[in-house]
Amino acid sequence: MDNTTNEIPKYEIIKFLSSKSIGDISYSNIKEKDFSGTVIFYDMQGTPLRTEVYKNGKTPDKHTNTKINSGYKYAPKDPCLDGCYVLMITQHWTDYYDQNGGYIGSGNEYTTSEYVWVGGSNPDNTSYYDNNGDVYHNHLDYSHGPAIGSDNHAVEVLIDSSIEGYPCLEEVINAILASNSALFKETIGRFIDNPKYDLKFTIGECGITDIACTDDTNLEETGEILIKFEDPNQNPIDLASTILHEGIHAEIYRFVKEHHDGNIDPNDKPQLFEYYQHYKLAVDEEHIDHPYMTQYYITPIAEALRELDNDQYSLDYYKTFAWDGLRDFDPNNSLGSIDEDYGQYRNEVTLNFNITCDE
Amino acid sequence: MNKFLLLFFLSILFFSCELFSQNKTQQEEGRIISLLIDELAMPLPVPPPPPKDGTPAKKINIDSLEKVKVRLIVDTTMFQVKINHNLPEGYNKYKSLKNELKKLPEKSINKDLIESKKGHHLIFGASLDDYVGKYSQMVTFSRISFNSEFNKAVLLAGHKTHERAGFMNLYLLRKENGKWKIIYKKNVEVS
Repeated sequence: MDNTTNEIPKYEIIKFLSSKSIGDISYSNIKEKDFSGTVIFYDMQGTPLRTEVYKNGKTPDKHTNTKINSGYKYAPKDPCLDGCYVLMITQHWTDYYDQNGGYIGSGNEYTTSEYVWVGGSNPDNTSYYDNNGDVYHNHLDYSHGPAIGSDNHAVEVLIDSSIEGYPCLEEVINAILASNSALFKETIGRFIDNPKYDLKFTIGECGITDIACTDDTNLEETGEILIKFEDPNQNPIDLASTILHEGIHAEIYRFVKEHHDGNIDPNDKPQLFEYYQHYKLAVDEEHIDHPYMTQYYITPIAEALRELDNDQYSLDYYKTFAWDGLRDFDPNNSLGSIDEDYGQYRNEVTLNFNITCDE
Repeated sequence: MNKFLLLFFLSILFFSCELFSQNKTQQEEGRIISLLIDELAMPLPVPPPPPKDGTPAKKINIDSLEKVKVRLIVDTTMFQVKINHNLPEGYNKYKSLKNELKKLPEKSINKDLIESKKGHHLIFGASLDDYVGKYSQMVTFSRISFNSEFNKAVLLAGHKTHERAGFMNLYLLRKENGKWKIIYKKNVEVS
């Protein structure tokens, strides 16, 4: 209870989350009891108000964003060296019993998610150690949670807080996330509601390009794929076509991993493996996505750009953007005269693109 | 006087060893980069793809592709690695080299020690944009981390044809019978 100067007292609900036994912890004895974990405050309607983190009764220097569960729209910062927030997904079920206490069945009511703080990979006295002596934290399934073992990660396409300083990029990302194109559903959309994989947009350095790249460094260990922007200051339509292009790479990374894990639908992308087989000695295998994209993704990229642009121009105008990066991988010369015919309108489409990023 | 002489000779010895190590590093860097240039160079445009109608694809004549000499830009800067890349089990001997890699600052390559044994035409530069219409592909290398015996090495290397069409791989190499061999390769980035 918050005893304010008003006559009507203000109440808040407090939830304690810890990987250790909570025991007789209360908000007044957090320090004495050396509490380690997350404390989330709610109003009486259950809306999260703020989040506090404690490590042995003290607030750690890092990862203390109190707004993390109250409408903050960016993903927590990585890496998780000194502890970090991870998204906890909770499915709410109701179990039904007959008059004799016999179990009848369960009904799934709704799903909620909250960020909780976990210890990091830098060892300290609050860390847990596996049999090899390495620091770890677990992602445990709920009894009614998805049956995917301990690989139960956040179910999100995430925007890293590093994007916060680039409003135009953020506007374009949000426009794509809100779009309904077939390409979005087939690529970036595959990461939504998928508990095994995270797709995160972030600012970062790429080794091979000065614009943007897709990074699968952590895919095996954490299921995370990064789309990194080294140049977040491109014009809106170039940002959009870059995101769509990199989103295809991200989906192919996810798809190939699923294939390695033996989990793919044989009717999904049958041509992709045909391309890998066909080109394996002729093209650097890491480039095989590109001739595949020239044959199967030019029109979908153009359609997605056109949708973002409220159908201002005919489809071919957008194909010249879709071909960016792929012109050297056009084995059938399917590009034809599009570049000559519509490339001259590139400036016009760029200037009139529906996403303007105006202040 | 004898002490000064001893100090003088020790200094000479130290600087000779340092010079030998620097020369050795540059020589081995040149050999590894030369090997990877031939590994990464790619004839363009790519051969025709499999037909969309499901009919069998025309087999690609790999022998003729192998003979194609490509024109290739070699990035003159060996960049500093900033991201930690995990190694799979079985490569623990490379772990310290991989960790060391992040400590090596960028530096210029020694052009005189780099060649393509396959006869590709190399030009040394910093950007694809500088050679539009002349050179359509570029290779880039990170610093290379060697063990003290100069028979194990770790680096990142990549290839691009456009700022939106490239890839970067992590390579582990071992020297066998005087020749470097790639023993592990993992793609870490694509664009």
